[in-house]
Amino acid sequence: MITFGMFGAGSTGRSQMHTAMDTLPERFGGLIDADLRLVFVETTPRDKDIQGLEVLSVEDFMALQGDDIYYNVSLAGPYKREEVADRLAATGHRPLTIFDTTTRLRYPNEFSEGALFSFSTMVSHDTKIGQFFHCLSFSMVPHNCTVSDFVTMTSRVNLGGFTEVGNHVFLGAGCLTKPGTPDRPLRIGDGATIGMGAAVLEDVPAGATVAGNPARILSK
Amino acid sequence: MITFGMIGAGGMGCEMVHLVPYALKQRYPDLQDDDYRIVFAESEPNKTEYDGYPVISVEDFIAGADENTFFNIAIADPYARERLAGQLERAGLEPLALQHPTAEIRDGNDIGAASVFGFMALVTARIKIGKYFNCMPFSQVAHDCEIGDYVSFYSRVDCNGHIVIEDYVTIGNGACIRNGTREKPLRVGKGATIGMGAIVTKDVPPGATVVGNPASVVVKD
Amino acid sequence: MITFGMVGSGGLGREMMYIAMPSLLQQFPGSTESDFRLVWVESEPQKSTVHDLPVLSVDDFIAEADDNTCLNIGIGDGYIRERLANQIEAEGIRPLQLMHPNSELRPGNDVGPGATISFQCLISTDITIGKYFMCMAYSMVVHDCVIGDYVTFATRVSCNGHVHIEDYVDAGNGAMIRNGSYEKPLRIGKGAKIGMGAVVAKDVPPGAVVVGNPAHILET
Repeated sequence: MITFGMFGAGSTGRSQMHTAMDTLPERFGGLIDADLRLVFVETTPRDKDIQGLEVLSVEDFMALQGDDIYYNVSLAGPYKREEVADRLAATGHRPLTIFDTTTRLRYPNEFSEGALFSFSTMVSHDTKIGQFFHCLSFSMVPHNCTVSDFVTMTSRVNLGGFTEVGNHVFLGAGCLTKPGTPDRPLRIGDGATIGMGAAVLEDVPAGATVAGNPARILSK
Repeated sequence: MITFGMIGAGGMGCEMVHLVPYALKQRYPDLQDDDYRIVFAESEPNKTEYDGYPVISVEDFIAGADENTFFNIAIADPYARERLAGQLERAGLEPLALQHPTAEIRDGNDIGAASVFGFMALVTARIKIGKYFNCMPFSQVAHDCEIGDYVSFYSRVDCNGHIVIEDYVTIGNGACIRNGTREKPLRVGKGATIGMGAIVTKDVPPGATVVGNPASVVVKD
Repeated sequence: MITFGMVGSGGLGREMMYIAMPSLLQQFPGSTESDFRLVWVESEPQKSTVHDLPVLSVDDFIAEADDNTCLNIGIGDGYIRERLANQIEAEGIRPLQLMHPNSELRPGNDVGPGATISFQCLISTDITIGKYFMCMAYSMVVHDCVIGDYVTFATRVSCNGHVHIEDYVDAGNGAMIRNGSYEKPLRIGKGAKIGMGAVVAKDVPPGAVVVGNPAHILET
């Protein structure tokens, strides 16, 4: 019996759970329905089921016994995601990356655990991706990038090559970054927020919020 | 033994090299993995190996070429691409067009030699494209467009209908060009550069660089 | 023999006709290409063929139609689409949904008749769409959106979650609409036009034209 728990039943959670339903049986060597248990996990469940799947409280999910219990966290906010991921890590349960059937991966790359990849996404080559990375619809991670932990790429994000993205960075829909160079990568500091449609041409300081084309700092 | 030389051992080359087996197998349907080899070539190599493939000089690549040697050029700069294309073609080598299987390049278009179409690229109807067109992932060329030689589209470029793009134009990530009309196509002049995310709503003069939404000229030759 | 009429043989119609055959084959299981006859339909035909397919006037198309005739409308203007739809449907001819095979229209959505969903589009979950929705390449509609009748999305439009788009709205190439919320959906009013590359972060009044990032109303 393989159990997979998706924390958060918002749009990303529901969408990625559809993908889990489509892809996990084959990933685990051809499971039949009875061998795969998919559940949503919420802090305080409001519904008994969502999309026909059970909803468990965090405590109940954490208390599950067994060796093959996996999870992922669908919260978009980087810090909230980390909080939940840390909590769930205290159990023996293991993070599981969910790839969409349309996700294209080049190689070589280094992936950490617990990523979520959505429709029509792509990861190029020589890229290192940290923990609990979100790569939502139509986003693309180009070559020679380093993406740290708990980074959220919402939809249609196009980073340039040779970019270093710090921890907890939030990349808004449709944003673009200018490529860096091998000697001088473009850097987006820890905790920065890039607004929707922003076109980032230079380094973004840690904690800054930038928006516009060209992107300008809104607040620090 | 079939040899494919990717000219340009950099990020773009690394991306494009994945398209090579598809192109070779289209040309040689019974091709097995050990029937071909891939090398990178550079004018002045500063390494001997890249992405798991050997890196040799362009000179050595030309010297070692036979009738089963092909190439394409993974260099964004249109003028550099032209220079190298000329050098290799004069030496008698044949470029090979590359296309990702998910790209949709529809019938009835006139596309020049050595084109490269990345993941999910789209080329629709009644389009004419010149040689060495480089079209990165998710970019599209819509109906009734005319594109010159050595043009580079980065990813997610929207070239809408009835647009004329002259030679040596470079279009950055996420740029959108408004459609022209049959009577008055929108023109992007020779050698122009369109910046990342630019929203181009009118003709771009030759040699100009345009950025922003709406795009405006920042540099003019 | 099933006759499919594409109303409008301009650039858009010609692009959409490409997905007519795959859509027909998909919607009539067990059929082959020779079961279908594809024609163009124009109010005032200028030529007798386009891409080797015959061009009929609207009157001739209606006169020749039988129970196996269907249509779609490859015209960007929502008001014109409505006029033609009403004219032709009044004669009992049914619309056919067109969808590119590499697009994803997830189950559980409510999509009205005559939709055209182009290359690599994503219509996610819990979405309601009205009649003759035109969705060009790479566009997406994310969860919990309500889209009215005769709405047109150009290429690469991003409509995020909890957005309500009223009838006849026209969204230009690359436009992005920020998500609303369950309590307060973001509203795009009837007949509004969203310019190319606009990044819409708040409600748009009916009939307004908005451009820029962030989008603002274009004063005329």
